[in-house]
Amino acid sequence: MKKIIFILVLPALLPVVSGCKKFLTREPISFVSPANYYNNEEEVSKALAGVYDIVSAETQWGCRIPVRHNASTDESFFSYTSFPTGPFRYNYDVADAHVTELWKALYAGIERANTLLANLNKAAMDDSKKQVVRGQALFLRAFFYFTLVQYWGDVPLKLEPSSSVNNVDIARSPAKEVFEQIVADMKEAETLVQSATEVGISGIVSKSAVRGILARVYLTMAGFPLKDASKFKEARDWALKVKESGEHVLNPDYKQIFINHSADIEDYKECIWEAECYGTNNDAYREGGRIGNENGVNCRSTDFAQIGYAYGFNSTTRKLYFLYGPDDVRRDWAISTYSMNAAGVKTTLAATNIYGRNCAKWRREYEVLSPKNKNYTPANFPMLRYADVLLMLAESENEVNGPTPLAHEALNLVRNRAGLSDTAIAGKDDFRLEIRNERARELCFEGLRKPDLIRWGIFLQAMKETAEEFRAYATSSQMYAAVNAENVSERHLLYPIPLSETSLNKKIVQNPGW
Amino acid sequence: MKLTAILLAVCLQVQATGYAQKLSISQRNVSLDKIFREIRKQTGYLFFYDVEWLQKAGKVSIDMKNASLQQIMDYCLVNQPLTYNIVDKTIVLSLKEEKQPPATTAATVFVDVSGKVTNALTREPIDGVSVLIKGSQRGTHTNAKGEFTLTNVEPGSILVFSFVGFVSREVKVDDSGKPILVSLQYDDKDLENVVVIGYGSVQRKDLTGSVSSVTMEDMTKAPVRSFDEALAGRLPGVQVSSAEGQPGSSINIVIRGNNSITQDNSPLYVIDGFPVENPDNSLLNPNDIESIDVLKDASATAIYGARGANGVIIVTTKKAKEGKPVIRYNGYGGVQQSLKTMDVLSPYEFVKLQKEMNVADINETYLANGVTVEDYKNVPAIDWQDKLYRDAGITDNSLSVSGSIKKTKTKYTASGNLFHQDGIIINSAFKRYQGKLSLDQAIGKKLKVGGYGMYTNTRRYGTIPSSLSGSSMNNLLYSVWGYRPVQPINPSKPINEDIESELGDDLINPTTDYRLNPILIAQNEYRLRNIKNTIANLYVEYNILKDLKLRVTGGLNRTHQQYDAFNNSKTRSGNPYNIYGINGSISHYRTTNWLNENTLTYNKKINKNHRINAVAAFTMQGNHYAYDGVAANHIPDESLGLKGIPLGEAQRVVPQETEWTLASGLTRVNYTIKDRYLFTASFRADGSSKFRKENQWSYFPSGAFAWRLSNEPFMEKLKFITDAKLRVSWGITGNNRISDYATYAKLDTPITAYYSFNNVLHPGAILSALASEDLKWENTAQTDVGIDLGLFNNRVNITVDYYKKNTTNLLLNAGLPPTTGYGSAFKNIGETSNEGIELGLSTVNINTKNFKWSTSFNISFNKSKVLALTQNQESITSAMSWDSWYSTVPLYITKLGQPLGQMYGYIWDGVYQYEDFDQLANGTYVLKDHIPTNGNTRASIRPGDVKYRDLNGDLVVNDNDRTVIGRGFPLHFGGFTNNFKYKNFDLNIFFQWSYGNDLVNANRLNFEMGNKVYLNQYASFANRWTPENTNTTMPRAGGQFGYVYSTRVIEDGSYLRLKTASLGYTLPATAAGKLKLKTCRFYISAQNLITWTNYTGSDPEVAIGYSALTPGFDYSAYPRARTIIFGLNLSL
Repeated sequence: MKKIIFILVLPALLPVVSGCKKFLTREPISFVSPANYYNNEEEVSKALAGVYDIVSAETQWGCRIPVRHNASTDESFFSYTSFPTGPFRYNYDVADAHVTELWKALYAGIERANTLLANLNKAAMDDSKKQVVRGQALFLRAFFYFTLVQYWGDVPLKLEPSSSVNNVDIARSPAKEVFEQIVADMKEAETLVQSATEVGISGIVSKSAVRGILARVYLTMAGFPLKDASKFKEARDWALKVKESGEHVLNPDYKQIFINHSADIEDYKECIWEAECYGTNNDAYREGGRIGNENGVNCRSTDFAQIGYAYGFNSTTRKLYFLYGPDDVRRDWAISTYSMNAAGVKTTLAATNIYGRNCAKWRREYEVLSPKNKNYTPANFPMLRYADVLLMLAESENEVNGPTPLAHEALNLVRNRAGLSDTAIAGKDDFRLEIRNERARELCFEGLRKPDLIRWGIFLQAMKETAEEFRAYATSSQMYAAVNAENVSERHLLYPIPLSETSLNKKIVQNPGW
Repeated sequence: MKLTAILLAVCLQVQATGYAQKLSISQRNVSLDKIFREIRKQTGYLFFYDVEWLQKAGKVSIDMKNASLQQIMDYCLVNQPLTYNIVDKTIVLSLKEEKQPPATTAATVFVDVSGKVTNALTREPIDGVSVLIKGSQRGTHTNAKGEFTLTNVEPGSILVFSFVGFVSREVKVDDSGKPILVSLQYDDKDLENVVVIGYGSVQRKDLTGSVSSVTMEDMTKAPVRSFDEALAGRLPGVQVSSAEGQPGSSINIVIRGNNSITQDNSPLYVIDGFPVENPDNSLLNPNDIESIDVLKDASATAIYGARGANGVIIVTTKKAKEGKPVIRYNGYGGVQQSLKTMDVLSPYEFVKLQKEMNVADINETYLANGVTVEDYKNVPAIDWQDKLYRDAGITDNSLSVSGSIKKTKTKYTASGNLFHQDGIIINSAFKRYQGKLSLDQAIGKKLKVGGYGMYTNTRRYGTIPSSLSGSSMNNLLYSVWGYRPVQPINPSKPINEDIESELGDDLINPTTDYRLNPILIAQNEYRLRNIKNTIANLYVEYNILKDLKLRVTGGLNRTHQQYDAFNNSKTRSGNPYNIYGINGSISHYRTTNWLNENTLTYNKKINKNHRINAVAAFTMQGNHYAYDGVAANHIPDESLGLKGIPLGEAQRVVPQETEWTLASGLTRVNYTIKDRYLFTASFRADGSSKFRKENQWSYFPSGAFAWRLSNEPFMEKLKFITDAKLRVSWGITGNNRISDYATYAKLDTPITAYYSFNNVLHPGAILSALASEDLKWENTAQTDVGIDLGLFNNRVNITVDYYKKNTTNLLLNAGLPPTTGYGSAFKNIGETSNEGIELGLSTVNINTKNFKWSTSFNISFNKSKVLALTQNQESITSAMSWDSWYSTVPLYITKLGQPLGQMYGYIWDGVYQYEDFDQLANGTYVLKDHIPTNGNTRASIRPGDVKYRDLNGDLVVNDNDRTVIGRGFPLHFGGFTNNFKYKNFDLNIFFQWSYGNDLVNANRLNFEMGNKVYLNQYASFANRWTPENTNTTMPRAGGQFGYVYSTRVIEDGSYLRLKTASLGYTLPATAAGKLKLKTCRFYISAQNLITWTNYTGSDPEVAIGYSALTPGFDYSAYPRARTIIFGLNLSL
């Protein structure tokens, strides 16, 4: 009896005592673990492309940052009424999808960069190439943090890959610390990456890109909320480095900059850094963006494969339209002079019809890939243009030394290209105002206006004036734009931390007013 | 598996004690003495008799199985000069009193009687039936041909025919001299008594756990493709709901409530001993199923350990039986019709609506050239539903031959099945082709080998109208209900001349409204899901000792699914308006699953009061899955079909390959004392490749105790109680339904993560999952208390169970804060509980010779509760991806302390009426200040707009006014079966219901809306608010502000359905015999005959995009069919 019971119990214990370790070990077959990756140059370059991927994502500069997050300022409004909520209406809450996906994608990019940086040392590859990769990864991570700090203020600062699903709580670091990290990383990156000439294209981060963005970072630190005026000097120095490198010149033809974007031509001399979109999404990949589609001239084409389809989400304010002088070649390129019907036929808009004018910087007729996709375009988006660097140089030089010849030279380079003559503004304050207006004229619809207004500390005032403008000039069907601007309050200086973060991260604290 | 079960059952029965004891004796031409010795050996009963008496007795041949002591004694002593009495475990024999034949009077004429006894079902003669003259000891037995003869019988006497396993019958003798033909019915109770449990089987009376068995006889009367379609309402505690009416669509089975929040809650299936986690039940021919047993409590399911927590459904297919070859044919053919079509607006109402909506070009279309709305009153409508739906045929043919070859000790069955079901939507169908061969071979006395092989091919054709694509305009029924019902009478602009044959509607912009001619789409979309499945199972069984048996099985289950899709220029995705152009794809999914089980079974009766049955096994299982395929867009020549794929723009297909392995050891002991106290303990250890390191192994104990009160002496006085058993069980089971590599971090190169540098694409390697190395099993602890009662000689049977389940360490696909860089990861976090009561009741209401009426009824109540979620989390909201405007609008909420899957949204308060407004001097209406808005800006709200309740009183309806507005799961559900037999007719009527669950009728969000030009609407929308029709709650055209869910589209999903009705007629044996048939039954069956419900959609049994978080959603569901068939069962 006992023997039999033993025989019966034995099989139950058998697997426990004998090692079926091997039988029960099944490693992934068709995907790899990060631990088994980053072994060579090929794998490292794929990982780096994965970090870049965030830059042109639809939730980022591939569409939403310029087209939706920056859509409603004093230079443009969101001219589509069917979305009742969103940042472009200043009607959103902690669960808003736009806000959430911006936050999500930036931290996904940071995680990708962190993992690459943490594993880079083990790769068997040429060390100089490794350092170039390291520089790009450091820069991109810092750039993602820069975006976060611009939109949210204090944010969690994570410099190592996530380690465990159970250890996920992380507190926010003060914006100042985040900025310090950004600056440190970018400065290091600047020593590692290649020069713009060596790189030769706009899609890869070069020394000029790092320097130009550093100027932008320092300008931001000099303004709201840190208001560290000592940083103007740093901004000036970095912008000046770009200019003095001699590697960059403005494209003599303003409109060609944007035609190049649509036509897949890269001109790193003007466009120092671009978010690259590719293909039409009709192909095997999904790397097209929405530049020229959401923010193109409204054209609900039935034959979009030939003509292209566009929603016209972004339209000009009167302020922007009338900032341009009559000789300024930029106005009638940046802002449409026509409407389009479903067949793609253009009709000139009445001179009085200002609010009916869409952003027209990127026009689908210049795309070279055929057939066109209804919603996705191959157009790149400019992350940093030389014109922006020159205006940052003029702005910071003015803040540090007043409207010196250097400041004037930088400003006038931009003006001259637009067909305007040199300015002769003497006062520092006047020069400051001129730069602010020039930035709108030159860089409108490029996703820079809202952060600019905020760092200048004039965002609330500017939106109040915009509301008044719409109250005064808009038709009843456009009056919602006034409501949008009127919605703006103190709390809109910063986005709310998304609900998906606050509900799962015990250590996070919400922004004031949300 | 099944064989182990049968053998185990036999062993158990041999050792039974007490009056219910069963014996098996097989002896040829031996003395009574020898038989008595055998009886003593098997029962322990002593005999008391005079040796001399036995010398007077003749020799006896006996071959009885599972017979009671009394039956065997009666049989042996028929025509012997002896009789017997049982006195306390002793059988006392005595000589019969020599009865004098009754005095012959002139009036009494004795007759000789002869006749034949046959099996009522098979029409085969039965050998050895005891034929007794009632009230005397005289009698005889039938011979091998079933014949018997009795001499000198008094007319008017009653003959009693009895045989083991059959219901006894009494027949009155007349003086006509005609042969007496008797057919005996199987005793159903006896057959049902064996319950297949994991790794064995037991008699129901010995069961300690909660196990429900399907009455296959009733279930097979439903004309269905697969058994799960007919399972709803059959068993207490088993909730079955099918997603929609499409042939081959998914069916959700949940046993005793959902344990998991984000993971699969479907039960483990064990098909012929082969555990399968997500089988395609369409692969099985319902006719080929011998039994279905559902294990519910932990005592029953813990033997399946890590996979048992969701319950276990054990399906046993038919195996070879001993006997002469029997050929059986089952076939039916019939027709299916849509249960319900939706009423849409008439041409007049349609045009009236367009006018009301102020459609921009209406004066060039419907109202051009002086045509008025009234002119459409007599124009016939184009009935798109009528064109799309059809009366669809259904046929099923099954043929089998089975028998045994005595000489070689071989049993065999060969069977085949052809099933063909057309869908009620054109160009959709389901077909099954199946062949199976099973063999069992005995080698010597101790060794048996056998197995079976089965090949099945199923083909499912047709587009799936309910696929949630993110845009509601892509769904087929959007175009069916919404397509224009009438052409303009005299338009002044060019419009489709023949809207019925053209793909697009000229009146709409195809880039913003994706309506297309539904008939053309349905005809042209080519979809084929072609599944080839091969199963091979082998076993070897060896009796090591008398009480100890070893069984080794090996099995292989391979499935190759090929999915073909081709979209030509007349389809939804291949039409010229679409970016993909003509496109096609071929996908291959290959799964190989293997199993090895080594089982030892030990059976021993220790003494008359103690029995032990023990099982121990070591098993190994493995699975390999691979996916690959090809796909292309912009195929230049559509006439090539899928062959044109190489010519198109290749799309990237990422092959996948995964595998898992499982090793398990298990043991179970059943211990019975005095047939009254039954103990079961089981223990299982599972090791799985899905987990790592120290979490790889997990242990699942269970215990149960049952007390058969009815065997207690004190119960003997309560004569009306035939059987009573109290059961208590507890145990722990697990759930491992996560992906094969959930514990690993994952790096991917998806097509969305490429990056181009100067327009040259580079693959991007990105992190897609964070390692969750500490994952382990999800555990469910379940307590069950049950009672089984048999009353009035088992004419009334009641089973009641109460259970409480607590699931901890939930395998939750838990959200991660985005700062981690990841969206979610599997974590062992969260807790749920389920508690419920189940009742099963079956009665034999009338049981006479010609008429029998029996009823069975079951009802189940379950209450689920979420006790914990991931850290900080108070609730999980879920959105449905049916429409782009609603893609982020939460529709379901799962909150702490509340049930899973509740609907979430606004409370609907009808529409704003004139009295809610102040009228300004210019005639415009302005909402009064104290009336809350509906989310729209105050100035924009007009009379007739939809109104929602402002819960927080801030006069603005917004996200803060959302609340729970519906219950996703029923309060109770169940079924009710009635069986009637009148002479040769049989009638089965089966009702099934679900009560207290709500449905989201999302169709109404599009078809009671009136905001899209030239889109037809439901007929109900005719009653919308207009200045002339203010006494209504239906919002005005376009008055539905925003994209929100409210109680307006939450409907009561309760229903009662006459699910199956079947009327059969069995030819009398004589008539069948003339046709050289053993049996012949004709029948007519109907499925989904009548449904009582308040649901306004096409059918209340609907679950599109189902998960435990998102039950009861309806959008563009494939309509359910009513099936009426005529069938034939033959055997020869």
